[in-house]
Amino acid sequence: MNKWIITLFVGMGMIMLFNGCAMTEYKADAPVKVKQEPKVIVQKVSKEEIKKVLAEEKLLYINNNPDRVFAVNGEGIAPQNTVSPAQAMALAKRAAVADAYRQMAEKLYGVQINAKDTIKNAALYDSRIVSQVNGIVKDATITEHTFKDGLFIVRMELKMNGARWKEIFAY
Amino acid sequence: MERNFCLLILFSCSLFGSENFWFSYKVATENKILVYEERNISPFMQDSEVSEYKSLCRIDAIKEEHQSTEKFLNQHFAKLLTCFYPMSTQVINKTLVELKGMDESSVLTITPTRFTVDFKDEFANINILR
Repeated sequence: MNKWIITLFVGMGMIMLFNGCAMTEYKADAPVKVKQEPKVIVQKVSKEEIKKVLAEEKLLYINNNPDRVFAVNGEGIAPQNTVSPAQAMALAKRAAVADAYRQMAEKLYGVQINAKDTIKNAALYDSRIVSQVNGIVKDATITEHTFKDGLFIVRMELKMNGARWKEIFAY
Repeated sequence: MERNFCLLILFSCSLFGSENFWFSYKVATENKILVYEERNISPFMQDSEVSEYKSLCRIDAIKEEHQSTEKFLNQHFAKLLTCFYPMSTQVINKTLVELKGMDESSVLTITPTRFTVDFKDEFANINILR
């Protein structure tokens, strides 16, 4: 009986000895499992690409601030003492352009107004209103012009980015 | 002595005075009627070291053979003026309103700007110096 038990244990021992290594097959080329860490991608970016990204962001900013268009109609009258109709038209155009610039400056910079009323014996005796405009206008363009009955009319437009307008003129 | 001095001025004009010019303009109106106009086109008398040019406009006209550049510019002043309006234009206006009526006066000034003329076969390019 003891002989059988010893033979059984020795047999099981032999089986475990020879099969134990064979179960975990070793492969030299098999990848070694390493604990995976979160991926961090390091990418070199050129200056041009940075500029492009900034420009795109700026473009988005511009889209949020649409262009504002200021439009005015300037009028000029031909003088009486002109030699020819052509001269009258040319001079009326100069006056119309000056008037258009005046109106444009009014819109952009505002008008300074001083007013004085004089009352005498409970009645208005004198009234005097002085309005002044002073400003520099750039990049305004004349889009239309007409000349009829001695009156020259020019349409002037000035396009400006909304953000820039707020930065310069809003108060 | 005076003659030598004049000759020296003429010599320096021809030496330094190139095709660079100054442009400035002033116009005054009263009650929307033009009363005063001042045009200035003069050669730039100093040697320019500025190399940055910006194209402003094109005058579609041919310069005659013996015509000076100044004469050409004066001849096509209306076109030249249209080019310079969008530059830097200052306007000063005063309007007086009284019981008997109103009086309005404006002064428009195009500030002096340096420019060059580049003549081609059938047109002339106007470039401003920055």
